[in-house]
Amino acid sequence: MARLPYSPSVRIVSLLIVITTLVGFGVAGAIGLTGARTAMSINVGSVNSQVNGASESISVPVSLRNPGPLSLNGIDVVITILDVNGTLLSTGGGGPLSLASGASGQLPIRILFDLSQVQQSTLRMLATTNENLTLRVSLEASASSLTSMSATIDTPYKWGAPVSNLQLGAISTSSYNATAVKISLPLSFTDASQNFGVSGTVSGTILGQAGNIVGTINSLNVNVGTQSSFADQLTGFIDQSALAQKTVTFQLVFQTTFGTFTEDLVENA
Amino acid sequence: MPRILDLQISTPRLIGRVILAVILAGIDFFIFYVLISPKDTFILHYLPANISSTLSNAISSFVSPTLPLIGLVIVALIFLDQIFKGTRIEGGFLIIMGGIFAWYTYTVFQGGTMNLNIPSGLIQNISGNITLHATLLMWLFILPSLLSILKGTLMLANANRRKPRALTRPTPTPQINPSTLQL
Repeated sequence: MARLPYSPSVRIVSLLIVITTLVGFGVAGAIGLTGARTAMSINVGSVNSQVNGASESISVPVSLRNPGPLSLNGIDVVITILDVNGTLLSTGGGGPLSLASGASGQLPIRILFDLSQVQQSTLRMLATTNENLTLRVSLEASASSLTSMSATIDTPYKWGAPVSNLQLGAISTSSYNATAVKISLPLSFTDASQNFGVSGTVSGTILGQAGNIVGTINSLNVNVGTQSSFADQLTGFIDQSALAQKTVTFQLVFQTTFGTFTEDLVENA
Repeated sequence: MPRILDLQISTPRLIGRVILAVILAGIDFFIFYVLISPKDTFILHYLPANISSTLSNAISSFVSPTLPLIGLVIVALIFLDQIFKGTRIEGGFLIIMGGIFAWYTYTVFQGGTMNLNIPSGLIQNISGNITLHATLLMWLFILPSLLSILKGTLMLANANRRKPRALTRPTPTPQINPSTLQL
């Protein structure tokens, strides 16, 4: 028996198989081409950062072009900054933007990092600890309603603390009266922040081993620019009786333009 | 003259058919097994060990472990389809292959929502995931498979219509010029 001849209906279906396969690969190619060529055209402009009190406004101009055959709709960028525990510190973004085939567009991205909006414990952490925060970029786009894409990209964001490497030197004492002693001790720290200077005062109290107040620290003016160091003498008074204790805790209160926070340092009395 | 089921075929054409089947099965083995098998992908052997393992993990995140196995089934079916091409069971093969290809496409597209993890280490300081919602595209790719099933069904029906005539009107074996046979 010879090979079975294909009936007309089988031939039509065979033709349809070829056509639909070509259409499938054609559409997939068009989507891939549109996405890839647009991604390659993304041009990120210079980052502009402005600090106003406790908030830092970061703007990034992004320009892109769609050289692909399909239109891109709903291009939306959301940027969040998270701390090491995954707590949301800031959010911003840009869009939505639609780009017809061959069109160009601007996608200005703005993030407002407002330290006055974060919790006290987080502010203390951000003020005193250099951290690797997470910058999360969430991107959404769709190609001519055929397919949509969402992506989440995490990248480390190095945070330099405005009051990093905070140190107290050795306490020197001088007599004041029958119950109290005048103290003086060096205070130093480095402003490792790229944007936040430290301008304000540092004052505080001295706590004994039982947690009771045994002294006070006079207010000291602090004014230090970004990426520079600060060193000065703290002065205050401490109860004579507290000098017998092995250690005391200096509870320093920083009142700055970006917020008020407390830092405890244990010192040998 | 050799005979495959109900199909008489000359020895040179049979050899040619087997060679073609082996070549096609080899190409399909490369495409449907080697390229997508996360552990065996030959490209990984040419990359540095750290990138290779990270890339292997990334491939594993979006390539279903069943995909290479389905690929092997496809390879076997393509080989057999070439051998049995033109016989009364070709339609059956097309139906099975259409179904398997549809399953393969559905698995590749992860049901229409494809997730790709970018493990940390693949791109410096970058990690994350990409989700592609491509249900429409998936059905566009499944359509040829469904049409293959339809084609196979039509061929089977065609073959079944011819069978009774062959039984009621037995004819002597025709003298077929091998050059008129289609592979």
